[in-house]
Amino acid sequence: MLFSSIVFLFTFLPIILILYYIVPRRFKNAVLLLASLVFYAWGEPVYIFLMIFSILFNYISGLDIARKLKNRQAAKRSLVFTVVVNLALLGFFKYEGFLLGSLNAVLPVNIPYRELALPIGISFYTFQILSYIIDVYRGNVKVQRNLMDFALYVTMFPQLIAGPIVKYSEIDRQLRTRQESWNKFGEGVMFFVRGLAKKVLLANTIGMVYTEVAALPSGQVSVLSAWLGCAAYTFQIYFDFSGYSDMAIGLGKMFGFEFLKNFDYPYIATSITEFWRRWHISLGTWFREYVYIPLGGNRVTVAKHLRNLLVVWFLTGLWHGAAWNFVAWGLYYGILLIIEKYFLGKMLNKLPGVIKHIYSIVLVMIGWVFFFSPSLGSAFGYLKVMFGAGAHGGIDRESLYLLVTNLFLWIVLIVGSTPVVYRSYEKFFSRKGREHVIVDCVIYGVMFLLCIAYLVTETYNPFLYFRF
Amino acid sequence: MKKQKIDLLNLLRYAVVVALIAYIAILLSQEGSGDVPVKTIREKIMEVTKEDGMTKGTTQDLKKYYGLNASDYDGVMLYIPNDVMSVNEILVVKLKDKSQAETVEKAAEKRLSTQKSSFEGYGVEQTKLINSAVLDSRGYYVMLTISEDADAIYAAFKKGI
Repeated sequence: MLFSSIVFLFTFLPIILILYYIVPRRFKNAVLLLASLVFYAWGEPVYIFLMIFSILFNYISGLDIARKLKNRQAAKRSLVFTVVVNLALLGFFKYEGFLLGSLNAVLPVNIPYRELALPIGISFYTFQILSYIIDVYRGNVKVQRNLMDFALYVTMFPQLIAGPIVKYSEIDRQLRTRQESWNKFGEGVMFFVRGLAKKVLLANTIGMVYTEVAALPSGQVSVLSAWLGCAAYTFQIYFDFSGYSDMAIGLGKMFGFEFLKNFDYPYIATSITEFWRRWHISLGTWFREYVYIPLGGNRVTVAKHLRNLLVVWFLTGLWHGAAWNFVAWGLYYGILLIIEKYFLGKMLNKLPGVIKHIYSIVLVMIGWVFFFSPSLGSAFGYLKVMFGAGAHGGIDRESLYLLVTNLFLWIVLIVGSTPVVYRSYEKFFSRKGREHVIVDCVIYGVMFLLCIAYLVTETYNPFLYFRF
Repeated sequence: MKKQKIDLLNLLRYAVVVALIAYIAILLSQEGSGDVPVKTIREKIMEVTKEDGMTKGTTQDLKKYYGLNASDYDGVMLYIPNDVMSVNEILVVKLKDKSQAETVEKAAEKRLSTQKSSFEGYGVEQTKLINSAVLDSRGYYVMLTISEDADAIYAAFKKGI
């Protein structure tokens, strides 16, 4: 079920909200758990059992690790077994085809395999589970003895499918005690509507421009068309994914939870290092805490530091998709970060802000080519066209049409990628007292109605990050 | 007494792992094998939608609208619009090899783009339907649908394969 679907907005969510607020406190988690299981089963009924088995296994494993904490060796063995089972599940469902396909291509063998459909959200909930298991082992959190609360942590529908990846330590207390309030509920609605508008009004609309460019026959794409297609995808993925995160945070607030922000205007970054502090923050934090720092982080020799960075970025790429273009995308960032850290960092600081912005956004856009291309070969093919090789001229009628007919949209997207609109709005209306509430209601109400007007005629438009 | 509890917990854990393996084995035996013929998928899809605004496409239509040769694939289901103002369309292709998915997806994307260019500017309803088309690739199957019933068709496709 999509957040941006009529059935979610007008049936599922209202029913769950009503149920949640009328039942006594002790049943609230049960309502949310049931809702989350229904939400997940709606799209992938067959994989609900995978999730249930996964919950049971990790719940028991958490208990096992916790009781062995005094014997570190035994606890470690239990931890390793748990991590291996979780990664094996993720590996089987997500990487089996990629791994065996690559082996078949490289070696003189033909290993037969059957590929199952990817269980939606498996990358996200596996990482959440691992954060719990590792933190129990480290003694950072207390083991969760309530199966229902643990199941709710894993399945919570607001962030189940596409994050943010909520670490157990961030939500442990909230699972037991959290405070709902009208104020928080209102904030939640605003977050949700903002996210919905990002997805429906901006991401879906600019996505059509990207689709148009992607559908152009090879040899018919001009340099400008290629850059416009890439820019369209750059905006689409940001507004799509950050829109989803806003909706997740908003829904969390409606049910009394506080999730950490996942995006902080990444396209205003002045370096790649800064970009990754602002993009998919929860994933970056996860890799830092559970991979980068355990490997030694930057408190090691230069050679080991380079290895650590490349390992983390190889895994980050692989996490996004079982294909070489995602691996290349990850390593591309690993290399850029190494270059910034050891060579470019000081020089970048001396450059004017505009140059730094251009430097960052161009490199990010080039990165997205690896991301949206179906294979590594087609990514390099697309990049060649962006830089003139094999292009249908520099500027053609198609590219001018794409630029001019969407001019207003391009402006909205550029401005919307910066904090200017939101901060100006907050600054101006926060001085207005009660009027602020009325203005909020009107503006967010109009945004919601606009989204609905779009949604009633759109039947299916999934979030880009669902495939991860 | 304490030792017995420990064994029970571990026993339970291993039991869940065994259950997981059995579950995956069942999934593998039932799905993803690419064994479901297109005819079965068509029956599932036609249970949730009608042929209104569409007509069955031929292998020539597949070549004409998608540039694909039916003989390259294990099976094809094609319904195309039955008049110039209709955009209803369903394509299901069963691949012989998963490497064919990219070609079929590209062809479907191109078809969507062509349809969009044809209707943009005067066919408001048609453009909306085209913009909300579902294109998905799962295992050995690729599906494209432009229809008011796109959601239901997509669900039937997923159920059918």
